[in-house]
Amino acid sequence: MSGIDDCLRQAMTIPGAIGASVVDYTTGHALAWAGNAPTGDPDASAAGSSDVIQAATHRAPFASTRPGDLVEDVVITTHGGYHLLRMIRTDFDSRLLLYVWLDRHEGNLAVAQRRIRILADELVAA
Amino acid sequence: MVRSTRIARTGSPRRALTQLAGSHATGALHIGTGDRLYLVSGEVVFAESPAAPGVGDLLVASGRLASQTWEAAMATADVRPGAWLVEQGHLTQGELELCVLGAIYDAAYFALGSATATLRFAEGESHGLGGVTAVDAAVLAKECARRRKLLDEIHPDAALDAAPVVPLRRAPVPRVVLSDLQWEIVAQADGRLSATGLARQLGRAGYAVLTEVRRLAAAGLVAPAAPGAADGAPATVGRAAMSTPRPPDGAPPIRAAVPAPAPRGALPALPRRAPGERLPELAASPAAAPAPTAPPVPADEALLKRIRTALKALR
Repeated sequence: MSGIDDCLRQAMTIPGAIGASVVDYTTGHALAWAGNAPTGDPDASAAGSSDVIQAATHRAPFASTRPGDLVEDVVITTHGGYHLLRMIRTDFDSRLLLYVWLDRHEGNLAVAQRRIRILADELVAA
Repeated sequence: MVRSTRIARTGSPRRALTQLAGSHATGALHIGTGDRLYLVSGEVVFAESPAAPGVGDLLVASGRLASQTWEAAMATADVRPGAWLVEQGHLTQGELELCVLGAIYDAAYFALGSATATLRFAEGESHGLGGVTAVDAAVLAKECARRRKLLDEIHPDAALDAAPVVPLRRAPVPRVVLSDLQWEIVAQADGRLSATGLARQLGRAGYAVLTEVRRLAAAGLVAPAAPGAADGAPATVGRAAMSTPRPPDGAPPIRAAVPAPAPRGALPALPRRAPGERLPELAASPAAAPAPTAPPVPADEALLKRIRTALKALR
């Protein structure tokens, strides 16, 4: 039985993980978080990650190249870190994402991306 | 610990919630006619509002649960139907938590929305779903206030939250791109359902529908329906009658060449031409358009009389 807190606890075990949160991107509000947020401001990182996802899903045609295509994740790479934004797709109506912040030198992007995909899928699938 | 759960009979729901949270109260705060916030030790564990789809509505409308499964869960002798759904493998714990959290924020937005309402606190009353999750009351109140502000940033017309809406007959631009939810709203808006009614019908979160209705209104694609359409009048006139948005002050719709006053930040609605009417000056913007000195209908008659006189003179 894995709920939101368990999902975030596991996200924090990914090598290099500094912070993780589940964000409602309707308004950019963190429903739950663990660890730290960039600049120590979880509200700002929730709002920012929501803006990025909204831009990628609604204001840019990235997912329109092929019918049925959907945005799965967005990765922001900075000099010091990786910011992974993973869509959580529930059957019921919601706009949720799993946001994980990783240290660039300790983290491995491919490993983290795979772990986060599994975590987001397992959170809402039996 | 001193527990004071006596609250004013009428007052600010937000203040009542703060007070109950401060005294670590457990029970249900009844707000107005149907809004309820359930607290356990001062934390909000559930919320219901007639304006927002509930947990069962969201799960059944999306096809995630069969309605019989939901009813079986609520009828189960188990005191925690939520946990029962997870134990029986109908939902994951994550889905249950996320759905309940979403429903709490959604219902609380409407429950805490009024400045003043009738209030009643039923100590010890609990909701039917059993403990699933909890939200800090101050965090919840702050987020609800922020949501209200975000709506006004999109399009500052609070009347759109309660009024029935219809899509405008003509789009103000040649090409329109809609999100999935916007498409559902446009397809379902019949001039009788308000934004919250649409949310319930679509099984979509109430606040998300409010957001998209404001976006559509800001883009000049939907408008409040003509007065009277809401109270059971036939919807057959709904779409056809909506050529100009209703003025916000409740004045009768302006006919003819004067473009309707556009809401701030919105594209002006296309003026419709009545038969025999002269075209407005192309350069005139809605703000610069001169106020008509005579009502449009007599002006038409005057024009016809002049034409008739001129034709007679040609004979």
